[in-house]
Amino acid sequence: MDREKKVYLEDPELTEADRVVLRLYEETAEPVEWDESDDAILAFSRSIQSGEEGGSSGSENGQSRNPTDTGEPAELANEDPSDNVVTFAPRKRTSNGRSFFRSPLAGLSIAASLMVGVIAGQGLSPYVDLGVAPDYQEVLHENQQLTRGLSATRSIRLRTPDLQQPAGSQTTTAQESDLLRIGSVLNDFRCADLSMTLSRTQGIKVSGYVSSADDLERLRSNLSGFEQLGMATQDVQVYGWPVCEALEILATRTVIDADNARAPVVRPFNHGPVYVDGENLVVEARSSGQFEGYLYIDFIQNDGKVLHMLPFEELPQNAVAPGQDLLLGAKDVQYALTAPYGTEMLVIIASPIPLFDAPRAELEPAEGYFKDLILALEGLAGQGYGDQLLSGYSIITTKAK
Amino acid sequence: MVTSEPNLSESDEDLMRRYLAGDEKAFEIVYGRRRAGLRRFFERQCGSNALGQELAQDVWFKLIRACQNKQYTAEAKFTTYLYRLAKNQLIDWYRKNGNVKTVELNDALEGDDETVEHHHYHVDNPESIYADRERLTAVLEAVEGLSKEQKATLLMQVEGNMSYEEIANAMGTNRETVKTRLRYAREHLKRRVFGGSAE
Repeated sequence: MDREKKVYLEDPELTEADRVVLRLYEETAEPVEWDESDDAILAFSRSIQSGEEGGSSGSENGQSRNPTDTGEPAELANEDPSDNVVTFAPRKRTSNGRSFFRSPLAGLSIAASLMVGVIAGQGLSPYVDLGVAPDYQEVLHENQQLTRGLSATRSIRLRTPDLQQPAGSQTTTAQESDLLRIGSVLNDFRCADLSMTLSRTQGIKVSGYVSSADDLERLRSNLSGFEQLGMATQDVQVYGWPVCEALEILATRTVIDADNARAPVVRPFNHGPVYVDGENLVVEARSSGQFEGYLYIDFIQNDGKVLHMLPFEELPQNAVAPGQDLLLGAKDVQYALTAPYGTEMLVIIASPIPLFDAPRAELEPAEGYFKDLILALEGLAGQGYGDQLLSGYSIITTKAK
Repeated sequence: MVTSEPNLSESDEDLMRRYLAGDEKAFEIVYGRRRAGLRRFFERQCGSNALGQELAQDVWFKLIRACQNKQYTAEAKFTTYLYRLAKNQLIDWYRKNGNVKTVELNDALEGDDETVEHHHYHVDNPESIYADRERLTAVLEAVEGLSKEQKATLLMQVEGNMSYEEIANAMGTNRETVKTRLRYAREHLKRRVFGGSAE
């Protein structure tokens, strides 16, 4: 292929010396050899394309190079490369009386291998996948408990290409069949988002959230057969409904952006993540630093209702400038936290155009609101605004005195 | 509807529109065109080929998902979108590894203009310079010595072949900040390559 014309060298402000150093840099650019990760990317792309046309991901297009040709570990080299793309059939799920349909694309795809192997899980969310977000993001806060983003599509990524199995290690190396079984276990929870990371030195770490303590117990029980792989589930959180569903909506239909200049931020004002009964909730928020637009700030209560802090009937104005700071709950309207206690959530969504025709009632059931919110977000995504639907959130915990 | 075969002369955006319409071959052309630059962008940011491979792969996966979810619609410049994902990936990686302040990559470099010392360098024989391995090594070392913001900006320019505006959009900053960062980066490179031969 012809070398691409370098537009930056045509900048009239450049001196000859500038051009020389930039060309010198080009001279340092050694070719990047084609490798397994390239195969994995194209296989993943093909699996998506074939899925969009209604078929399951096929091994013909999606296979990685033969592991025996690429220095794969022996346990992977024994696998038939034609098995390298596996798709589970779509299925219907229910959660809290509501029905969700998985996308035809949903399933677990082993796209290819990256030294140890990469499993790119596609669409394990129980929802139809419409969003994209970074796999894991922390959003402008030091307290990870407060602000944690989770993957839009539950990826099962296996990495650590350079690590060697240390002598005397307590863990054994996962077989591909083990990983498929674990993926199946992780996929078997409603209103949940679980992912796993494989490390040759630390085994398999499962992280994410489930919607109840029972589910967490069931998860640990179902994974108990894999203890020899160094299975760790300490990072799995319990976020009950409606918090879990709100997380899924944000992860699949908005961009939870790690870029602070762009991301809207919401968090308790001068307060940690834990509140006791009767404490006032004061919230500080900042609009996207990059866009003007409309801001939506909600408090997702664990009684199944949503409190709209901005806008609502009495506070309808939610048009904001880029980087605008807000303080809610400090003056005219104040919020005291009471029972039922548990995990609750502050949500902020920034949109370039209004999500709803009119302000909503201050308090409403989460179920109806989520339906309207999904419709609004999907409608805007369909109009090309998908990458401007930005969100953030903070998890808080309430408890008795 | 895809009506003809994609070809190598088509723009990234045209090819991505084909891909969004179901033409896998179009994506392969774009991928072949952009993969090496993106890989080097990460490798030179992180100083590790394996890590660069991993981070670049993540970005391509995210791009594919964004296409699947209609979040990328091929209306924006492709490289701007790709490198915006890359920048976010990089910030995420820095944060996970605890070696960057939360807002570092997006802080405006206030006062950069004061720190840029403008020298004029006379280049006698450019051809001999390109063949000089020491000079090439000096360039790489100079890139390594840039701040994260300057490095990301420079690498977007040279690896992504992006204009000031495109870099500004990808970085979430403005054109003047990009120009300042690049000016600083070039001065830094020139000092390392030409030594103290300022005139």
